[in-house]
Amino acid sequence: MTVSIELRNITKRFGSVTAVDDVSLEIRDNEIFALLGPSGCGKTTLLRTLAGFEVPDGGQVLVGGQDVTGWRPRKRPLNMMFQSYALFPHMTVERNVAYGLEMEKRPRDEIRARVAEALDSAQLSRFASRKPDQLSGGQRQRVALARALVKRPKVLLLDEPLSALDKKLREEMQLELKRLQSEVGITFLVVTHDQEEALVMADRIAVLRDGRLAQVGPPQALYEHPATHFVASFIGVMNFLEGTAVPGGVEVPGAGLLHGACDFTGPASMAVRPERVSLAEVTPGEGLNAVPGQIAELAYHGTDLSVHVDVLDGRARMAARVPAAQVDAGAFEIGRPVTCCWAPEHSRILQPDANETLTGSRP
Amino acid sequence: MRNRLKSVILLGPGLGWLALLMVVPCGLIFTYSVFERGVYGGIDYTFTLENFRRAADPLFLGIFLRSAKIAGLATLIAILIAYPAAFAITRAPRDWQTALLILVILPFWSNYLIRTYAWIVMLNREGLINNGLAGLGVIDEPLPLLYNSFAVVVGLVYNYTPFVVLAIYASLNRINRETIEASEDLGASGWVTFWRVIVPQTVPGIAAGGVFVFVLSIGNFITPDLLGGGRLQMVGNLIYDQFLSARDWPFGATLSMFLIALMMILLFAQAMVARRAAGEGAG
Amino acid sequence: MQRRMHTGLKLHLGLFFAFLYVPVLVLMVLSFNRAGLPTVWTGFSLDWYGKLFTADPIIRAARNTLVVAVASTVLATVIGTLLAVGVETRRNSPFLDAILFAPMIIPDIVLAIALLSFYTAISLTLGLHSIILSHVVFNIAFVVAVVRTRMRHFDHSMLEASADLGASEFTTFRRVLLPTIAPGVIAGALLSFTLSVDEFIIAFFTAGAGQSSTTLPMQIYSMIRFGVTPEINAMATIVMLVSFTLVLLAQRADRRVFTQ
Repeated sequence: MTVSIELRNITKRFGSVTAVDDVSLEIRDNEIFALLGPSGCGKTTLLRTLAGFEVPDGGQVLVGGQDVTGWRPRKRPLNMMFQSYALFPHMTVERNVAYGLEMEKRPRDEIRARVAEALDSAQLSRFASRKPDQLSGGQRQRVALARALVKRPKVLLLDEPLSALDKKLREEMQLELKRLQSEVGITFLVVTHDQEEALVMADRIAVLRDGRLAQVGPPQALYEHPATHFVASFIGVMNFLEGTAVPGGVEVPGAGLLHGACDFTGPASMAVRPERVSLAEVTPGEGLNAVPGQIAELAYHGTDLSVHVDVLDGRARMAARVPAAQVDAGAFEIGRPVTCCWAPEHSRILQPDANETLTGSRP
Repeated sequence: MRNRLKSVILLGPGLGWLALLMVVPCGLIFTYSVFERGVYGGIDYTFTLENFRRAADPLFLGIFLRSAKIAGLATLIAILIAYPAAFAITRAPRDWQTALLILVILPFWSNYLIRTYAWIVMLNREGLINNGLAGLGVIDEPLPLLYNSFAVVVGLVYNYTPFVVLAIYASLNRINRETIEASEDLGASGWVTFWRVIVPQTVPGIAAGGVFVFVLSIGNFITPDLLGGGRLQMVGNLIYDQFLSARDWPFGATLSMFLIALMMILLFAQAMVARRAAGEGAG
Repeated sequence: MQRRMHTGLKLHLGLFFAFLYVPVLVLMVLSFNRAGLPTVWTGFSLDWYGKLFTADPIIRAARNTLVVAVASTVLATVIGTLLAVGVETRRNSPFLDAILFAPMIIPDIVLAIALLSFYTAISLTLGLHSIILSHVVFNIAFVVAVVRTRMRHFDHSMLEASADLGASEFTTFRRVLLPTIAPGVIAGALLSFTLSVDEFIIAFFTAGAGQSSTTLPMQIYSMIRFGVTPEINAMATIVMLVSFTLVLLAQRADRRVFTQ
């Protein structure tokens, strides 16, 4: 697999703020790569550095092996789909799509043919002579895509491509974009703050935090084996119990030794996903981690039920996700004692982050 | 019922005032235009279309055209000066922009007579410009800068350009910055981006500023009076003369009607431009 | 290339500001000129200011101007604020918008002759009162424009919240709406005052014959017609500084007032 984009030690400062701090990344040909992180993590700055709108204070940008660090945006073999779509409001859909080809000074006939083809494959032919304000959000998004793709770039950069759409359309478009990418066969680099979007769309994800890379890997690896406390809490929902790592697990005050694979000692968090937690009325047999508590809250999601349990005498709370099909009427009610159980292989034992996190979703 | 009472209290005094002291007087002028001039300068209420025939007379048509030419030139120059100035302000650091705008608009809100008088001081035979040029040895004889159409255009441009800057700045500010970046991303140079993406999106601002300068220039009285000297007559001066010297009120009223009609046509055109742009700008 | 264009823009902006301010500054400097010659510097003196403050016609004109400006500002501010609130709390009407915009754009000379014709037709004696009536017309338009801008940034559900909490319409107006739009009202009033102090043509047409109701701009006009004199420079300096101060105060009161 060949490397499409390489970022080497990119650093970008705005005044005293370091937006991107020594980031190195390789993005491969023909993959969907997501830059994921909370707002202010530097993902958009990184994307703009790639597009050429920001000049890095240090480091190199290579596209197809060529150093393009000092190139103007218009010279780079990549195109961008902007967060606001940035359609030219005074031009028709057709003129918008033709714009990039006109800049390449293509022959008139070629422009006409390629624009027609692009509009056709985006199912926009009917709207060719409309202005952007006469289109729906989804249609505008397709125009923005067509406008960038008609130039046949090596890489398409997408800045929060779906954030302007409502939830239902967003989910449709995630799959639509995936299909499109496999059709055109170019690299897509997506910036998003929505971890679900990244999980659904991307082949690989880079999680950024405070301008630094936290972890890079395929969605499943990030979800199942988060490298840091931050990644664990940012992607999906995670239960954490604070304690001290010892060989074979984490010693949690009030719960004893909870088992799991661990290669360090010292302060640590025992982490487990809610869907790996099962609830039992009596303490189960050997081999399972067990933390007793009391049901504090119930949240019904349709497909499943979240049961929130106060554990360790109320010093912590754990969530368990029970598939709705398995819920008996009246099985769970607030105040009932219950034990949270999970297998040691589902334990993730994490060191505390260097600077303690405020972000992330805890149950 | 309650709502009606509320409307009457809120809107009544203001709309009443404007109706009585703007709409009715303007209507009165309209009716005067179809009556004859009284023997001693008043109105003789005999129906006539003579005033309109006279207004279409080559003599007065010529004055109208000259006024339009001077106003048009002033408008063009004002836009040419204002556009880069407004553009420069949008490129200034955020916290400077307000200060720069205030600096632009400050003279606009001071006494019009004095601003015009300042150009008499600048342009007269012993004025700053003539003295300066003579001091540098560029000229031997003072240039005839004052009391001609040049001085009138300078005066109009000076007085009205600030407003155009404001109007263009506002429409530049409304542009989605990402459209500018998108243009560059799609391969356009700065120059192409300026002409094909930035300027078209500021047409409403240019139109608003331009119509404003043109309307206020063509109906202007003070500037041609003070800077144009007695020789240069524009529509404003002509109307003034009909009321205060010639005492031909019906004819003066007819000329005013022409002015108002022209103004309404231009404002309508400008509103259409703004509406089209507003529709396009949504979203 | 980008950078060079930037320098060019800066230069243009600099020249534009020079164009705006040099004539005004020249006037101000020359007002301290000792010689009667208006455009050649011969030494510093405050004589012309002294002359100004002892000339009866000028003192009277200044007093008249003050009376007109204060009266028309008070009237226009009250009427205009009510009007702005009324217009902004009902359905958008292009017709109303046009009526409210008209006084700002009608050529002064047209409004001036229209008002003169009207006053003559109803046999109104001309004087300071007729100037005041006339100035209120365009002042209303400016107050409405400034207050409406302010209103547009006002969350209208606050009015409903106030009603929901049990306030009467009047109480809501006084305790919720007015405090929020107050900066706009103050800015509008200051701008009205400035406009009224500086207005010439309408005052000139509606003041009537005789010296008794001459305003300062009318006085300035006749002095300019007479010729370029150092007294005008001195008076211009004072009038300009007063306007600048008022406008800056208006901007302080409502920061949106010039960037609507």
